[in-house]
Amino acid sequence: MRPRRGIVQGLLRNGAGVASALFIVFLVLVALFGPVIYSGDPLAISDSPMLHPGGSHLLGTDDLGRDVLAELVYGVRVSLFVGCVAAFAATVMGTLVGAIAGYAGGWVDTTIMRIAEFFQVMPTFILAVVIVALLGPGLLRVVAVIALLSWPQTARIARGEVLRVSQLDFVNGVRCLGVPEWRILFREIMPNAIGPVLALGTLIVGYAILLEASLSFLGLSSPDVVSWGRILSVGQRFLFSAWWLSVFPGLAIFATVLAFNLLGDALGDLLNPRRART
Amino acid sequence: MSDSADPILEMQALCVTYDTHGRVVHALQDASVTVSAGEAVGIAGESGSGKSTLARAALGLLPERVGRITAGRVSIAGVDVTRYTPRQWERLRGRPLAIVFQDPLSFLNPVMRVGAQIGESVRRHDPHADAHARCVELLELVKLDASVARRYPHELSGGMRQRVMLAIALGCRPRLLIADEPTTALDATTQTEILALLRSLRESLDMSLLVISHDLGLLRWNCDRVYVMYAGHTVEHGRTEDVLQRSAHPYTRGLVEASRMRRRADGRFATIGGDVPDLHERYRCCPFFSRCTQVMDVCRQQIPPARGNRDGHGARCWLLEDGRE
Amino acid sequence: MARYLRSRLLWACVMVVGIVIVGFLITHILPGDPVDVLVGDFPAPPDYVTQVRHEFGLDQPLSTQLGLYVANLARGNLGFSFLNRQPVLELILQRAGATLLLMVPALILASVLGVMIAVRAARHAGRGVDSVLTGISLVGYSVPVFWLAQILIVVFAVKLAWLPAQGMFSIRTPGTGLGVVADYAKHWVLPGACITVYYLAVVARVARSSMLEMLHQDFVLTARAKGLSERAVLWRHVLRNSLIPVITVIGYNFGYSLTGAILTETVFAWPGLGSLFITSISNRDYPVLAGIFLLAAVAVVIANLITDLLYAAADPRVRVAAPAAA
Repeated sequence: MRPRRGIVQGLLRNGAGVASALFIVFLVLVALFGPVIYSGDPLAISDSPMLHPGGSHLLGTDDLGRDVLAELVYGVRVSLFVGCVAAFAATVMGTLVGAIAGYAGGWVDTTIMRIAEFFQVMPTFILAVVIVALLGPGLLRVVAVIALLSWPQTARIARGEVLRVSQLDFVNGVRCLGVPEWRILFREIMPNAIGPVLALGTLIVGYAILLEASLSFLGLSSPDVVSWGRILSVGQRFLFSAWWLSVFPGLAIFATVLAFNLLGDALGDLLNPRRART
Repeated sequence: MSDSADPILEMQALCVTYDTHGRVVHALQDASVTVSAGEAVGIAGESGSGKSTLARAALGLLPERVGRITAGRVSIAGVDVTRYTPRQWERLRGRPLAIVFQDPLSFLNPVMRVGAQIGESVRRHDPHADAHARCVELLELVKLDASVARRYPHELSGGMRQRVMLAIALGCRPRLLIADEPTTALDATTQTEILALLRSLRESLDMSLLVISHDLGLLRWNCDRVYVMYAGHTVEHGRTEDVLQRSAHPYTRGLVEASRMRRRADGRFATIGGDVPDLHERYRCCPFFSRCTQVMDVCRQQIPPARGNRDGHGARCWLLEDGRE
Repeated sequence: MARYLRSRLLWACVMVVGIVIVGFLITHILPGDPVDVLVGDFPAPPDYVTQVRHEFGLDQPLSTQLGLYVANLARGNLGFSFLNRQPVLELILQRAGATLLLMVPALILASVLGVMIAVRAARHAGRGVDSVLTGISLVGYSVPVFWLAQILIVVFAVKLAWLPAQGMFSIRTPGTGLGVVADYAKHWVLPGACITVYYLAVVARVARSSMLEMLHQDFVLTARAKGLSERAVLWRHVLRNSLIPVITVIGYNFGYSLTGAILTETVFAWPGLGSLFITSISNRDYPVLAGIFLLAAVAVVIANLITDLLYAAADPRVRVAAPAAA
């Protein structure tokens, strides 16, 4: 097993990976402490509508007079929440299912992967829209749909990794010691299989954030939730007159998703078991 | 075995390093190998001895940007190819030297029919020949049925794939065939067949052979001369029976003893004690000193010079300085 | 090969059945009167409501309802859109053309460019060119497509006024001939660019990593040892192997194209299924939503099937035994 020190060293060598990791830390800090700095309800009207950026409103105000910067700061929590929870749920579910499929083999494997394929075939965005349209908006619903339709990807990777690792000789060695099968799976195989799964999980965060932003852009988010996408939908209406309503929230989404994708790629390169073959 | 013509392959004091992310491995240190026309030469050594690196260096196949020749010379038929660019290598490879690798499943293109892969070799080196006919000819040469040409690599057995690899190499009409562990991935029966095939090909095509293997028995039966490698160095060389039966270097002796699998007086098998060599350092002394049963002080301090006799039997060992042959 | 395809075909049919059931569940199990979903929020004549109740057997046990639903589907009855005053199926078929005209050229362009970028990047892996190209594809993958659309509109349609900002044809479009094609092309550029950027990034990422892996394979060593030129090694050996997983990705992209079209069509008011989908939401035209969901899912299944075919044609190893999961 690669020692943890190696991972940190490896990440440090990858400049982009470092930058994105730092940015994400920054976002987390904003999510946690932003509301302290910007106390009060971001949805409350604070000034006249459609003010240009500058002065007391660094990024301007929106069509209802709300401060854009405050909305951006509060929006971080929503994005991070949706992204991380959805990715976490999908990763956990997918890893468990995929590991069992890969380890058990045979009809168990085939059945599970067929079911996974069925879930993957469902168009995530369309289903999310349909659910929200029928049941009403809600962050947890969105998270649930994303997790439910993204776990197959993780399962596929986890299964592949488990298959690869279980062929390695040390597994047989441990088996000869009389260690029970389930323990072999969880203690020996999984830790070695987890690399690409983590990388994919990070990419799912980015995907989930984009999906949530898309939903709120279409007006499908709850009005009491501050979402970057919603500001952009307002911006769509005032595209030519209030450029700051398009530029800043879009930039926020882009930067966040980019950071997670960069980190995911860096992790993927680093934790790739087939890396560095001389 | 002197010949007025240039040796087909000559490597002198070759040093090769692999550089991955700042970690340097000295795969070859002062290795010297010569193969002349009509000879069958063997290279013996364990894994990590540098034998495969040597084979790749001979064809300029070291991994790009990672593997480099840092010192020494490689000449093919008298031409110095040490500093050859990839372009120059493209034009040179195949005709003078061809190589056959081990574990052929990964060494053959999985999505291309076997016949096409052999045909590629033919067309490259024999542009005016009828590729299809020549392909069939080559398959017959390696004792395979012509119908094999339409198959894919994964549809063939290990032995068949190894023959296909041979056919591909022979399609280049090489003067020297390098076989890197040609039988390691095969079962015993197939091994014998492949070796017999190599022998007969050598005679019928008047081709030199350079066989790389850790299997001393294989080398004994197929090679006129043999080199022994350890930690990237060529520690001993000479006629096969000289090297294997009257070994000059303690490592060779250890290898031969271990390969015989006879029990010693205390009932245990003979082994060479100690660990595999660390290749991260360039050796300024004898690389074998930590495992040698006859090690002396000088062994730890200086590289032993090359010493040899008139029969071409030589080794690099301080023990030889004492006047021993 | 035939056995493999037969098992895939069978499974595809099973999945379609599953999709239909999911579609049924959406309209019937979710809270609220299923009639609303089938009829939509748009005010409908009361006799129609009773008719729907009867047709779909909403007063009967769930299993019978499912049977009736499937029977209706088989007849092509996906409901009626009062908003558009058309049977849903007809409406969908009408709008599908526009979506295809948007997505297909974009996907083809994205695939070709993506592979070209990947080949370039992989050959110079780890160096400047690679970093730049990988960076570009990362950006393309991370940019919210609706934001990109807004920026493109502001820059090209407003500030520079080179290209139209909305729609597929101008109001005063020439009836036939080259003029129509030119008009369509002009309108295609901006929305097409948005779509291409994303899918180009997806293809380039997969193609590049696939190529990098292939470049280090043993058979490449054999190819070089034969004395083949670098070009021959690249095209005949490396690409032929690395493009195999890329086929899968491109196939997926085509399958999911309906989803990909939604946001872009909305921003650019392109008259395809995507924008139909969105307007149906705000108008609570549920039959259309359900119909598009079904179509999207079935499109993915069909695309996957075709992709499997192509994959099996490209990789001879697959034809021998059906893999547990493609």
